[in-house]
Amino acid sequence: MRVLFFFIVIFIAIAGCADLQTSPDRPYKAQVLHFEPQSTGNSSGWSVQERTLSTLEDLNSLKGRYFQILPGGTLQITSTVGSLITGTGSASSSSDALRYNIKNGVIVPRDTTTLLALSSFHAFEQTFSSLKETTGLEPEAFSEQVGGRYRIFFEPVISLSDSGETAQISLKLNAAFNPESDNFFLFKRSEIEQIPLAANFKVIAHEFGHAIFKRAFFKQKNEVCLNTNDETKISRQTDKFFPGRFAVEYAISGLNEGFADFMSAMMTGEADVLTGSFPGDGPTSRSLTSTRFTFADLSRDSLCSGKFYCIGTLFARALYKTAQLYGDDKSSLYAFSRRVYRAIDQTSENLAQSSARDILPIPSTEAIFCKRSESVRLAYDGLLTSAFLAAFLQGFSAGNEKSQLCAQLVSAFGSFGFTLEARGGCQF
Amino acid sequence: MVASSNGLFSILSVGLGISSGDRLDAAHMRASLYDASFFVQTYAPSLVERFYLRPGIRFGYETTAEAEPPQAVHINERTYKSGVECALLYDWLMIPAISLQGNLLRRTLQLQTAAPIVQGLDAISSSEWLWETSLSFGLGLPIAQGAVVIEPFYRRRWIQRDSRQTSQWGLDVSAALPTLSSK
Repeated sequence: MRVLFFFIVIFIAIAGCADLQTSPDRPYKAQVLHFEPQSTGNSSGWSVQERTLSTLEDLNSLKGRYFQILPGGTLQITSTVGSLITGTGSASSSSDALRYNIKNGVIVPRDTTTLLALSSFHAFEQTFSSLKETTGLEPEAFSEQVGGRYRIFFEPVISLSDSGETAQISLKLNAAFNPESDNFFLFKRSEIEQIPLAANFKVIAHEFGHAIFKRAFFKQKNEVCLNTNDETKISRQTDKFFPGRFAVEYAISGLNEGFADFMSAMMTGEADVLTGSFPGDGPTSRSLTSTRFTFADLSRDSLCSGKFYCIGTLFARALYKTAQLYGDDKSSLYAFSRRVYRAIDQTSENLAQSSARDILPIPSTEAIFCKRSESVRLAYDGLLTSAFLAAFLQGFSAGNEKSQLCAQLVSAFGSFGFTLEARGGCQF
Repeated sequence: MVASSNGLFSILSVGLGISSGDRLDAAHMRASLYDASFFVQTYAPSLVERFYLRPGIRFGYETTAEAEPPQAVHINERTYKSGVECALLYDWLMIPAISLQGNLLRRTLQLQTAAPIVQGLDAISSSEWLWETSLSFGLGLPIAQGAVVIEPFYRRRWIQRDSRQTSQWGLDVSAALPTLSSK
């Protein structure tokens, strides 16, 4: 009896090795967190529902036609600028990261990580599917510029590298785009969040906006500002366009954030990128519908705490409020969004070749030394934004739309951030 | 004095066990597992002197605490388990034991949502049957000539369709049931 009992235990233990799960067929359908703008009837916009992941090619590796979600990787950060980071990411090789059941051909997550990873895929798929409407770019052309697929590191383990020492930290409450490697990073979830940022369609669309800005304004180039010898630094004093200058300018970083917020609004239909993840509406809210501060207010210590996001919010609000000319007419809204993209695409060339060049200030000492200012300098950053806006507006044809855009920019940036000289292309 | 010197190894014992451990998933997110169980065991001499087999049955409940779950959406897990086990132990001043267990798990998944999510049909909440195999290494401390055994243990688990790391530390406390037989 004892021997029989022992073998029964062995048999039961071995029987646990069987796995009867079968793979679903493409196109994959899954239970994911989905967002719809409030105008469509859903009172809050968020729900967990079945959606088709039409560009997903391999389920277990979360590899899609344009991007791949990589859970469990690592990221070594060397520097951060808002939601732009510099560092090195590496992926884990685990092929069994996702845990799911198949019910009636639908992928049903069995844990929170799988639900959020699939939801992130869905959100990125939504941004790629809206790329043509909002910018005129084909998704294939966009992903081919990075070799075929964007990589998205999902909740990676973070280490911070500083002076040769590396420490593991727990970065949460954020998502980021690394322009040097064209990778996206979705940081770990937190109990402070409502909707995790990693699965928030609006946040993902914002990060996607940075990738679009890199293509349009920086021409998909990684111009890194390098700390070089004294001779080069001296030559930079009179070179408005030395390589890497714009990557370290406070104002340009802010305008990049603002463009990303505007792209998020156009792709998602929502004017506040952070609602859903964080409640509240503080004095420096990222909402594009409020008008709580202007460019001149940025010198106040209590405002923005030196962060350049506020410059971006001013830019994004001006664009969004101009877009209100078209009301709920989606077709016209998307056409305006495409014109904004084309204008950004021409901005760097216009800066170098047109009257905007004369408005652009010579580099500051910080820029020459490849350091980003930690706070706004009204005069210097005002000239930077003025030159940028002057070059940007050259991408619009004269008419009601351009007049409205000019008026909104004047209202937001005032005479500090949008000088009279820069308004030459505006007709009032 | 070894535990079997008064013949108590020939009877049934009942006990309670608790254990806990951490688990990492594919995104390196940590969850803490807490387990409580009730078990019935018996002892049977083996062919080798001082080595005993300890077959038994066990019933338990396990709950999972996810580290920092977001407020608006996460999936909770609760598991009921029942199984059989068999240990090989050495009767000495302390009682080292190695145990093999086979368990049937009934795991309940519950989708938890809160504002701003408006949840309609919930297709995620469900229950599933899973097999588990585990291997435990324990060191029993006999008390009152083996009438009570306190056994801390380390357990390594392999669960069907669940590749997340699962190891636990725990404590079993068992007491011999009174017997009518005498030495």
